[in-house]
Amino acid sequence: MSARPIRWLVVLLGAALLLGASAARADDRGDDKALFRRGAELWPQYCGGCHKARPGGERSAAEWDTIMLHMRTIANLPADNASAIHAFLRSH
Amino acid sequence: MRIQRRYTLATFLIASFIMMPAPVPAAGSLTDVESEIQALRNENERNQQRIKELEETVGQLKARQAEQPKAEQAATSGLRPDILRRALDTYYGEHRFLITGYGFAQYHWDDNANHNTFSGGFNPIFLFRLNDRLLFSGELEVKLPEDAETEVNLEFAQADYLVNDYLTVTAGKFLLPFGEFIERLHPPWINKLVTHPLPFREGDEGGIMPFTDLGVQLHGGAGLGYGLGADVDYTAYVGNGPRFDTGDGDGAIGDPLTFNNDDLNRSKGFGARVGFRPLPFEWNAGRLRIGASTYDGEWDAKGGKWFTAWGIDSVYQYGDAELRGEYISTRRDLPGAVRDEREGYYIQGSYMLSQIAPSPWDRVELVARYSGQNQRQAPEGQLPHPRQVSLGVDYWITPSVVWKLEYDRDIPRDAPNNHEFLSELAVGF
Ligand code: HEC
Repeated sequence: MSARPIRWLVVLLGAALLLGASAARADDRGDDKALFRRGAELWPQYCGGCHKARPGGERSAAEWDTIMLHMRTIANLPADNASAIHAFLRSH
Repeated sequence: MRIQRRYTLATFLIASFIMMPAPVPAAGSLTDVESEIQALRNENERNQQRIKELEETVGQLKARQAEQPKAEQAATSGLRPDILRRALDTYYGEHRFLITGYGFAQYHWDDNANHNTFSGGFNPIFLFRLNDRLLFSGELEVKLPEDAETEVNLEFAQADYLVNDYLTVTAGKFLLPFGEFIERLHPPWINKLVTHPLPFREGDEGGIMPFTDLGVQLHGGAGLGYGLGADVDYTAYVGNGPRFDTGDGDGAIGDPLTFNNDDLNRSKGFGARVGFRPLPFEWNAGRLRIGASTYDGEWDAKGGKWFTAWGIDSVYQYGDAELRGEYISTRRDLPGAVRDEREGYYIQGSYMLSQIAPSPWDRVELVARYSGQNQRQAPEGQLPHPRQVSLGVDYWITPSVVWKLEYDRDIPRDAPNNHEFLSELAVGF
């Protein structure tokens, strides 16, 4: 019985590493206007999902870099939408 | 005649004296004078040269002095606070350190329990971003137990690594990604009521799910492909698994949950949650999330006795209105033929007056929740079939600062009814 979980763990980590080897794209911090506009549209939709949406002016650009990484992991946000919201918030 | 001659002689003598040429130096001393003149000329030339050099030096000094303020300005402009902060921020890599978290002050009056008290808590969260992909986060819970000095607990401490767009690996102590309340809604600046729904009270207060586990999570999200905002998200994890406080026995119905920081058996616990957001934003049909979770593991020291839990959660938001609910069912094998079975649920509706009331009433939100729980036998001090109706009025000072008033009517199946009144100021920072 006790060997099964270990096998599970190995399989999961193996899958993670395999996927990791595929082209990994980090959150690009574009200041691109289209990205900004998309972020402005998405911000109230996604960021008001669990708590009241927190406005961009609350934080500095560098702080948003950290918080967006935090929110992306808590909320499992799709990467491109997270990037757009990030661009929108960081340009305040 | 003689006189004339004398005169002539005197005139001659005087004239000769006057006309007598100056004494002429000898031929040798003439060259001496010439060399002396030459020496003087040379010296003059050297002096001229030295003066020229000094003038140049003075010129340079003057120019340097004139440059000084410019250079100073340039140097100090490099020390402007924002630039300095940016420089410190990016020093040795690209890490960013941020302290966030929340604090609250609470008042609780309980009719039956003869309870009338103030309390408070402070939960700092430390976020450390090493780069665009790697985040470390940790939360300390600084709280006041009923009758002892301040207590500090480690709520979570985890590292998150974005492997790619669809996968994040998290390791450490994390909030259990089971349903939404535990992982995403429990901080008091997010929870719209002061109290937790009955099944989501923390372990020692009578809830039926653990709040944390230690292990590894794989999670991520992606668009479903038929419109912006229609997404799926998933989490799968392996952890130490659940643990119950069985006292001196081998386990009995109603044992309370406890922490499993150092795994009590060799087997692990497993869990998963899948969530859907089926409505794309362009449909303008509101926002809907639906999730299903499971958490399973052997809970006893010897192994072989399973704890299994499953749950569903959903939230629908339309404009300023929100309706959410969760259901959990758990089952635990016990020695002998009996099983410890528990279930719990809540449904909560809220409406923010922002569109219909004038300022300052537009910051008011009305909340109502019904929650319940069932189990054959409850841990000491708890009821097996509690039910609760909660009504709340929230005043949102900012999106993360809220003052809440709450009235609870406890209507358990197996005890007399009870009233509670609570108020809380919660600050997320
Ligand atoms: C799935 C639920 C969820 C969604 C969606 C969400 N948040 Fe959060 N957010 C949380 C939780 C939970 C916390 C509190 C973190 C904690 O206590 O560990 C939080 C905290 C925060 C904080 C406080 C600082 C911090 O990092 O803890 C900010 C700012 C914030 N969120 C902004 C956002 C923004 C911007 C978005 C939109 C991209 C967003 N949130 C979307 C759940 C969510």
